[in-house]
Amino acid sequence: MLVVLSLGLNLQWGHAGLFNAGVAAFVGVGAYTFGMLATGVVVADPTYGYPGHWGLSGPTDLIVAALVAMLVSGLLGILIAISTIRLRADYLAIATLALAEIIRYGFKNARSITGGDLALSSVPRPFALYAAQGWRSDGVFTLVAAAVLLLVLVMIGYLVRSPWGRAVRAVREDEEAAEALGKNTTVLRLGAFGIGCALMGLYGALQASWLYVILPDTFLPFATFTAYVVVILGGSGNPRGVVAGGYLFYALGWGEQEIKSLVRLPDWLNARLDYLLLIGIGLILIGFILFRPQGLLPERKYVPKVREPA
Amino acid sequence: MNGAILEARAVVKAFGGIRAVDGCSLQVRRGTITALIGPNGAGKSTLLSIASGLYAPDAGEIWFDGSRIDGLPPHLIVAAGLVKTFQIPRELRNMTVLENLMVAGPPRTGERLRDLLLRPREIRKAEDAAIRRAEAVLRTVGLIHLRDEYARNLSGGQKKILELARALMTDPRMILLDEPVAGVNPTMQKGLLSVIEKLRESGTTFVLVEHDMDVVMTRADWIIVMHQGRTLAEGLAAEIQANRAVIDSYLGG
Repeated sequence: MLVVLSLGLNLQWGHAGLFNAGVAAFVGVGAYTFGMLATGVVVADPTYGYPGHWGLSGPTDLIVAALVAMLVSGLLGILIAISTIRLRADYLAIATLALAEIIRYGFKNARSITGGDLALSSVPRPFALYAAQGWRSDGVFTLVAAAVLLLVLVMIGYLVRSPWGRAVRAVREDEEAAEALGKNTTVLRLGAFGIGCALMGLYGALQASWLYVILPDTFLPFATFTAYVVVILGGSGNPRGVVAGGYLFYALGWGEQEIKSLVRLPDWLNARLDYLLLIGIGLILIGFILFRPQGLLPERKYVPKVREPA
Repeated sequence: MNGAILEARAVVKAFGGIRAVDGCSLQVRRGTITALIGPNGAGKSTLLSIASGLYAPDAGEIWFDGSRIDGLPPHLIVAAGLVKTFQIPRELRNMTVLENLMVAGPPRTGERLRDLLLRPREIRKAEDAAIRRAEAVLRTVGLIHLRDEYARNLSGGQKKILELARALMTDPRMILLDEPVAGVNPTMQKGLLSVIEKLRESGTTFVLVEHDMDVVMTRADWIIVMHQGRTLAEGLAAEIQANRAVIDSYLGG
């Protein structure tokens, strides 16, 4: 799941050179869109959160809801981008970071729609349905997530190898030169930003369908930086690298949990292990930036070849 | 002066307090190699940047082939057939030489997102054509052996040639060259200049900003001298070399 998110970011940052510091916001928008479409039609109870919405719940409905979540995130991304995309890298980062916080506070305060801090809960967990039939719901979820990931990977792979992908990389390399060579760089950047944001929205929807509740504070800037860690570790500009980075990042967290459960650590260490992990990730990140800035798997050389004889 | 393909009318561009281009008017005749010379800071490069759309002029107009182009975004000016190379090469560093060429030009099939959904076969065809075209251009300018090298690994002179090669990929009717031969070794220089002359034969117009007076005097059909943001003089090589004002301001005694 994290990989889907990071692939979206990779498209923006690795390929198009757009520094989006508001990843969390687009994830959040996706999650809430999905949540709102999928939660039941129950009258809002102001003391408990839990506002009522459209209540789509069949399997096809939920797929539609996820697609709508992508669409909303993507369109929001394009809308934001229209006003901010001309900004140079660092200013775009500040603008998107600010936006992410605005949206998070929006989630917190629009209580009648989002439940605010009380959470939007009872999001249907479609995968729990299968549990009744003797399937493990997390197993089904894993399969679905893997299928989505595969689909996204194929799509991204096609995109970045396409002429469009090449033009987008040209914008990353030197926007002015790309412009002087006849590219409409604004449109190219908007496209990359929009698709990236849509993928973030998809991640949000997946997350919502898994977690049952949606809380505004899930979408802290921390979520954004997690995605960047994955992209940097894996290799910006290389979708496979991002997958590798995602698993590496996940493996670190999983490893920590395993150590906790397998080894009887002294209490003082046990209590601090989570933080040590964060420090460790920080160190690894610094190490990568210093010694292997291209990540685990660097961007691959594109060697265009004529496929069909003239 | 009939048959002007490019015309500047009283163009003004100021940066802060400096009027880099200060009411400059000039015409470039179709099918010529026109050199634009003058001391540093005369406004030559700025004028080229305005013509190619990188800057909008503060005042004045630019006309290209019958239509007014000042203030248009660069990609539309390229689509109209006017392209500029950069004085300091702006190669796309982390892309290969071939990719640098393929990316140049008006949007190709497959560079618009909607194309990608609809017609993979057409994209494939267009790509094949683009590759062949790019290879042909690389052969012409003598960079074919570096086809799949990253552009960042090229030498300074090779990058200059890459600039010209990319410009050629846009099917231009006119190319603005900002110091194309500075820093290029003599052999390559000759090759580059013969490519330019060959293209001129087939109808492409060139404007050449250059400080190498040998090149300017022997290769240019017409010379325009700029000084302090305006045109100071213009004429054939012999006339310019005899012009008192030009000698004083630029060529030196």
